[in-house]
Amino acid sequence: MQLVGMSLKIADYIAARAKPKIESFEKKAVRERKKVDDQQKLAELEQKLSEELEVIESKFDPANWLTDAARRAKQITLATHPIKYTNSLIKREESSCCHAVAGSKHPIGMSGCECISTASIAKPVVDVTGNAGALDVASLLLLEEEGKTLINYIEDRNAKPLKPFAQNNEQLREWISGLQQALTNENLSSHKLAKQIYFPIEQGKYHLLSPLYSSSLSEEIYTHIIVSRFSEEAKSARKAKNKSIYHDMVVIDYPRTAIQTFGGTKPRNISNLNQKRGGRSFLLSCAPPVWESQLKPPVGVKTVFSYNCFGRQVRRHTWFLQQYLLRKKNWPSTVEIRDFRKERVDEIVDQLVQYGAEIRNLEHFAGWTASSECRLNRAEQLWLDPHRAEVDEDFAMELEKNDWLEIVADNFGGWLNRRLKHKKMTLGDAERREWKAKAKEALEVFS
Amino acid sequence: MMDTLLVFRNITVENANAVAGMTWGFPAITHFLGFVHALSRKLRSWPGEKVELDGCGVICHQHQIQAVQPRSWGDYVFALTRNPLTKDEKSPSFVEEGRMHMNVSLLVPVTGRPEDSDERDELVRKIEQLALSQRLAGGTITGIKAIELHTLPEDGYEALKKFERRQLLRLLPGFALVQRSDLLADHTKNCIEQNPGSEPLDAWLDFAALKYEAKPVDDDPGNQTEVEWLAVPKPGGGWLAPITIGYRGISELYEPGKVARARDMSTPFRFVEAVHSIGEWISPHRVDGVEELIWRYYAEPESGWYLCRNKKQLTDNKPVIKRRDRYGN
Repeated sequence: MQLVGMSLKIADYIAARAKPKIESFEKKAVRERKKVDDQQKLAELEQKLSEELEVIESKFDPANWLTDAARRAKQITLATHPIKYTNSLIKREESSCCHAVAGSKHPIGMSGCECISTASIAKPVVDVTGNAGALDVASLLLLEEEGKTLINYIEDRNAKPLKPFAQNNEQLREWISGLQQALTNENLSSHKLAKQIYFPIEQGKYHLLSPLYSSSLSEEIYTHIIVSRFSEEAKSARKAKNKSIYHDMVVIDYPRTAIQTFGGTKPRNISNLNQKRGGRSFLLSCAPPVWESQLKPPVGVKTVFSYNCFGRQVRRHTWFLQQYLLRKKNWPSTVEIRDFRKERVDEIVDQLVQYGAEIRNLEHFAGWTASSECRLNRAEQLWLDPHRAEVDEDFAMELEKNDWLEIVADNFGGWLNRRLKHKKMTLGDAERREWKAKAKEALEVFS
Repeated sequence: MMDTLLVFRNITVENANAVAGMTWGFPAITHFLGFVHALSRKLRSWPGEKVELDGCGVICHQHQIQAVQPRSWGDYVFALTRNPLTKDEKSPSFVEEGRMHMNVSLLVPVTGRPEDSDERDELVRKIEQLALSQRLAGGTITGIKAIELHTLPEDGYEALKKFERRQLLRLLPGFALVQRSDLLADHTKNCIEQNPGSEPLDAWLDFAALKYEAKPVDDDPGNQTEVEWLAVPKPGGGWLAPITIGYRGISELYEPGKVARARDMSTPFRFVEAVHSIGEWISPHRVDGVEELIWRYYAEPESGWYLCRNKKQLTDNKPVIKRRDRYGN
């Protein structure tokens, strides 16, 4: 009978599994034959060898192999969210792992593009936990034909791919129910070591949620990062970047990633994919900006707009803006470029406000500008040490007038122009006035 | 509707959870909402004017994550604790935990308006007592600098705006977390337009990536010898970060009692996984009002989505930056 589609794949798979066994047997047979020269002993040997070959072949006869596979299927579990990632002490059989195909694609109130989860992946990879010796059964179940895996057929209780191999319906049913045990547990259960949290639905009503780790999503992120670092194209692009020569590809880095390991020294205990990843999984940074806290007010400087003071806080921002302006220096000034520039400058001005607020909040240093060591210019003194007005009347009067705002904003404009200057690019008065206007607007919060 | 604003100023937390879904560096927003919800439940037995705490805004002043870069560059790994031996006198297996110390402030909208000043003081004392005994994001609260209860001014829009502005300024220096899922949606659409094979995950990873491309020095596409490598702009402005915003059901909702070993046999049970989106760390003085910083629970139990939502994205109309290739096309 001609096998087609999935059935053909299954037959090929079993034959492929048989091949190495038979080959090694043949090699062994050749060795054995060489050792024996006596005719009678040779005949006995041939007899023994042919018996052994028969045993091997019958083991890999599709029907027999499938019966054995169905029997062993319960030693593994196919899941996209294995429970072992939550805590390696949780036994696979005791708790349910889940398959990501369930669940809706996006919430009613939001679009699918706004939420990233396993549902955002077109074809999530299925992970395998359990006995490594039964991995061949897992590979059988993950055989794919025209987008449908054997697992999909079994979930639908469709025995069509296996029918050509079965002797009767009963055997077929046995296979299906045996192989189904590789999917999730029928006994629904969680575990005391699993995460279980309450989520309020409405007044007084809650749902108990048990978050599970998504091995499929982790695999996608891992693949992306590894490809961007170690694929052949990426490596050659990085070499080109180091030498400043042209290359088609974009060099992609994922800064500030962390590695979370599962399984300690034995990653295979967690799941198959975990072992492929070496027990590691990447985490992306969601941390807030690092704010270098000011422990002391800027006493010894003439102006805070210097590299050591405010300049330090925003060095990353100014560098980024400079890079952008260099890229676009020969382009006509479009709305897009102006908007982007405006946003970057807004960020720097924000930092200015933060910086100012922090110095002003150093309450136990109040009056620091009055000390003899302070070389700061008057306008900046008025801005950064408002509490001095409580003891110093002249200071208070000057503070009221708000002239300092103009001067500080002007200082900022000049400083930013100097920071952004580059031998390939010049910035003039127009830009300086623009930066000054922005700074003045932002600094009004302090008046 | 918010009648009163409760401010927890400078809460120092030790050993908070630094891992949230596939991200690290700050606890998920669900932790803070849970803290406030627990507080709200405990206040239900308060004898005075009934108050209800609904939602929370988070401002981070300082953070210190217990992670190191073993090679002084590259990936970070978490510094783990040495845990007690098991009953067989062996070391227990590793289950990695990310920990961090942080200094945060919380803005909590309150419904209910205690008028009497004695009652207000009493309420603040009660809240302090309850808050100090709870955990925040899995970490211990070692101190709260101040807890303030401010009644919102009722004499007009201007007065309200002025009050909010003052409150926001007092939170500086610090950064508040707001939701920017709109940027993610726009960027995904742009990516798919430019390259039909793109997936939403590619767009999400773009926000975390730093890209460089070669650009000819004189902008001539034919010139491939003199180039400079310049950074590609990110899909949006501001300090954008991938964040975890809630959970998505991956199983059906099981009736109470059907799942063994659940924590509680009288609540419906569901298996879920983490859901991610994009958030922005923004300086508090840049938002128009306190409401823009507030996160609230948003659940769609029928479809199995349990999320936290913030209004910032609904009021901000800044367009996302459409990426062009190196020649401006």
